[in-house]
Amino acid sequence: MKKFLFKSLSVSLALLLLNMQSFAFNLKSTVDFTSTEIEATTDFNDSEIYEAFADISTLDHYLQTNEDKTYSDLELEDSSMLAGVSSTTTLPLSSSASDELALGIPSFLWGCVFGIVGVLVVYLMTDENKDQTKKAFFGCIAGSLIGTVLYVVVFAAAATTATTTY
Amino acid sequence: MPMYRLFFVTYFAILCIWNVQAQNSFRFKADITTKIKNTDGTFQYTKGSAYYDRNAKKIIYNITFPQKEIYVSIDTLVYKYVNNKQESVMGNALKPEFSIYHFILNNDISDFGLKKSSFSVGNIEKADDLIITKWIPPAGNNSFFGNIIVSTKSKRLNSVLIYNPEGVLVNRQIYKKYKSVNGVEIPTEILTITYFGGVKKYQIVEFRNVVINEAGNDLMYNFNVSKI
Repeated sequence: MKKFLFKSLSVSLALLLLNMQSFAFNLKSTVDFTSTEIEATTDFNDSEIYEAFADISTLDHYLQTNEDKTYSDLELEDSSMLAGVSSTTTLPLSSSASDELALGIPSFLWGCVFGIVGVLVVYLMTDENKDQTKKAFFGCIAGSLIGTVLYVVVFAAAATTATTTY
Repeated sequence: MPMYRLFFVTYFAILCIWNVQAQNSFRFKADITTKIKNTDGTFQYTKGSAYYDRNAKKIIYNITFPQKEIYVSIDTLVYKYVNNKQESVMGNALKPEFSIYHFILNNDISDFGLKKSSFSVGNIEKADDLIITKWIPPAGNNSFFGNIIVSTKSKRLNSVLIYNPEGVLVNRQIYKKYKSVNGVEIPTEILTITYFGGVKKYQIVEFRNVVINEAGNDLMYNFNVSKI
């Protein structure tokens, strides 16, 4: 009995030592907590979040019992439940669906290569996504600037060549 | 067999079974509801089911509200299907292997997956019944993230505070209503506030009917994006 207990104690102490070593390795640089960081953690008032959704509680309860209903169904049945509710899907716990790309091609490229037509394509294919349309628009401006600069350079070069010839 | 030996054998057997069970969790399925209040006061409400297989590394969302759609998240892309036809492809900064589903199945959720990241522990403190850990980003970090403060309560992830590199709080998350399914601890409610200057965006994510290691339904868990 005594021998067994000694063995168990030795194994436990060895494991503890190993654990403490890895813990100490992780704590190689200590950065103090600020009082606001501790307060922000301990005083997290979740009632603020629940209250923010009070306006859609009717919709929430309705959809718990009517699982197959879609936004279009509710628009026909009782659109009052959809007041202020967007018809776009948001993926949970993701970096948002606002990064939608038209045909998987970056919006800036659409605008840069196809100009105003590219902007229109992005606007329509990303369900009128403002962020992506803006990127396409910046692409369009960049494309136009590059085009203008190239035109001026080529025109100037051509004019210089013509002058030299005469 | 003497009583004390029987006790130790049972104790170690329970520990081994627990460990093996946690290691063997590879599939997550749940009904999921996401409610968002945007900074302009408008709402977004999304309802459906989420599927994740740790080996396939794909998150599949079978959405029923607002519209019937399927989203498949693979690597940094999200494919959207409507009526079994691929409609668009979106970019997504969050890879499936860094998602909460992966952390849950890997039992990494208590440290928010940071233990296996490039972040290191800056400090640990006890406040009330919380163990608070400060995670600091690697030197020369050029990302969006600064320090991350993670608190645990009874060894369960309780809250996460994400700061930007300038030290401004940008995101707060609270993990609630834990349920144990097949030995896997799952927070069935996640509340989030994201700060954009002086305005806030609120989000509530709820999991219901959680199933771990569902047998069959392989086509959904390993959704073939090129097939349709």
